[in-house]
Amino acid sequence: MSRPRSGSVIDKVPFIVKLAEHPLDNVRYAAYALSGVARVALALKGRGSVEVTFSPAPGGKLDAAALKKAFKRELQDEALRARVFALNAGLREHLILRAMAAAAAKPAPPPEPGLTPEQERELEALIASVEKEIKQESAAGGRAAATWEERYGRKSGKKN
Amino acid sequence: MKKETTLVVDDAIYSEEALKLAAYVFEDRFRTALRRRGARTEVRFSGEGAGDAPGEFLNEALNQQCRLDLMKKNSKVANIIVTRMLLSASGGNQKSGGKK
Amino acid sequence: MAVKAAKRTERVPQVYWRDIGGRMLLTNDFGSYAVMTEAEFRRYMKTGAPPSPAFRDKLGASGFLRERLDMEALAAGWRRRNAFLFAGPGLHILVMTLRCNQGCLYCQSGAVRSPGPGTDMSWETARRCVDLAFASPAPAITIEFQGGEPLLNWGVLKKTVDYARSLEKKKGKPLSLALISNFTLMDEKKAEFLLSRECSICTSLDGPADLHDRNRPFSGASSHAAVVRWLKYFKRRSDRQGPGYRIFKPGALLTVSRDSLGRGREIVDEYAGLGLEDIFLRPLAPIGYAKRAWPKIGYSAEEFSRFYAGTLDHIIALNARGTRIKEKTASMFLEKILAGRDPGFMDARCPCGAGVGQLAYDPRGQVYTCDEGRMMGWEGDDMFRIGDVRGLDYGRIASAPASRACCASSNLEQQPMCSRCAYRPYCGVCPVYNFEAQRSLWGHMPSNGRCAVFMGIFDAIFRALASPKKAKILAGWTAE
Repeated sequence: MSRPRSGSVIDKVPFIVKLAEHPLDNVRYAAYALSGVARVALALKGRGSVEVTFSPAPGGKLDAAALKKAFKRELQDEALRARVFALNAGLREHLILRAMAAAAAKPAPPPEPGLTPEQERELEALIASVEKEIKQESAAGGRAAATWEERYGRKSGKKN
Repeated sequence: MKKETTLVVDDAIYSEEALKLAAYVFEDRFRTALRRRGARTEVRFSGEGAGDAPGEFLNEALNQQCRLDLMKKNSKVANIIVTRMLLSASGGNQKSGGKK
Repeated sequence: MAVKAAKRTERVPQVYWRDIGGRMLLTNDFGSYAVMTEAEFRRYMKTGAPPSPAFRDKLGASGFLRERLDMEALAAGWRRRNAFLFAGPGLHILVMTLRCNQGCLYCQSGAVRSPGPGTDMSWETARRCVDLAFASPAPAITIEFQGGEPLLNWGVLKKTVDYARSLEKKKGKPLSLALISNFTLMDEKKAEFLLSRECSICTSLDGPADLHDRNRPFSGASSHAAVVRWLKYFKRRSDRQGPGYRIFKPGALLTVSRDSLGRGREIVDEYAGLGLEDIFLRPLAPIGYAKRAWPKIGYSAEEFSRFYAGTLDHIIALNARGTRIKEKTASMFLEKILAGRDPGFMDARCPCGAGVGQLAYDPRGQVYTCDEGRMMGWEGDDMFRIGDVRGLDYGRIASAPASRACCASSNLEQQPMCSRCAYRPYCGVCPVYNFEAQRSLWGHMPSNGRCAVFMGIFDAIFRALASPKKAKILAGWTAE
């Protein structure tokens, strides 16, 4: 691993983040936010810390100083975002549910009936069903990579 | 020339689900095999396109993991919106129609 | 800029923020926005209180002060902005033929030169498509005829237009008709037929003749000349109007290619010179043929953003001098930002319109989530195919894996970056783009070219809104 020099271009930029200061979810997001400009790898470092290592994409370069500044800013922003979100999640949910059930504003296209109790029950059942199905289907279409044990001897391929 | 590379990740950082979803994203470029080793997972990449696999794979695994993190906090509102949309599109408020 | 989380954030409602060149833009779920200096932002995020007396009324009225949230009004506003959540597919794109007589460098439609099996839509198929469109739960529908070049299938197109209008009368469901054509096959008989059936007409105009003809070659002749000739014709007819039917102003849109960059002013002046009141600066997407041609015609998101910002400035300057012309993307976003209304922009809503707001019908009667999905089908990947028009109803359409997957993956509530973004109340993702460019429906927003392009557009709009003079002009771009 190269030692970063201020203002220089190097191949890896590591950061150690204490989980007592920044929860793991926040560290993951802050790293993710910068994954458009770099490859990023996270690993546990001892007890209570995470090492976040940025490296350039093939043929690319990294500015260590700029990256350090950006990552620090992202960590702080994410801490604030997470706190604001946690404080307002219930209120937000209430408002959106209320908007879903409210009568349409006038003037409007054909008036919405709003949700009857039966429709609300239907909606709740649908939510439960969709939650389950989206988890299974949405990104992977029901197909996921296999472990060695499952994969051995089977060929996969994108349909085309 | 076939390539094969391996990396090891912490399960606390990258969940199995995130790793599997990331592997699926790249399945047309390289093969990915996962093997649990205690609290870590060994990820083995093989195939012609496996050159930059670890870097790209980890970015995608982080992408998926962040999405899973968000779902834990936000799934109710998210699902209400999708369900409402699909219900409306199906004509659930009224009779749906079309030639069968 | 970063602000350390402080204990007094308990009073801050849900807000999103972004540094737009030294000032902080704040937005919220109700589509409201505020602009503050860094110091004001720090004070506001620390206490949840207006950072200065000047902000008190504005923040209070727009959902930025937790103790002054008017639940009823905010819920109603949210519903108005997301009205599409309560309607079904309103836009129905009928691809009348895959044949085309032009060879546009960036063609994304999968156009072919010669007729072959499945290249032209039959009358029987077209009729079924119209039937399905009218069965939509949407309270009103638009049928848009596209191609290839739809006029190459004129006989079926003509019949379909009349059939659609007859169904409109029978079913009492409002119908808008639109035609996208390169105009090379237009003649007065066709023009009058289309106008008398209240079909709005749109074409592509890439700019001055040399640029347009280079992008859109046409068998040794100038495609630009045909476009200009018929734009002038339709404009004359719409200026005159007449009894019996409405004549809509003709429209044109531009596909920004690499050759367009650096010529924004000339392109706008070309549009203004023809009396066109809208210009749609559409970025090129690496989908279909354009994906293969990208090394020659493509550009980075940063390059497009610079082009867009400069061209928008020029358009605003023309407005200031009395020329009526607006940029279409901006005007649609301004509907959301300033007027709190849904402009019907399928590309920028949550969830996107794929399968639930729009449908695309290919010449064989295969139904896709959207036209981009249809292009992918033509290229050999039927990921976005919903089914055959002969066997579909809206229950099946909504429950099709393609519709559900697009709905889920374009839900900004579940996109890590979008859910935190200041532009989320106005924006949307495209699962087809994500799949083509990044091999997954969810995409990877930090490196997503479309996301970067949209951010550039929003940055340009909000920078303009920060100037009172420009804001006044932009406010005039929203529909009344």
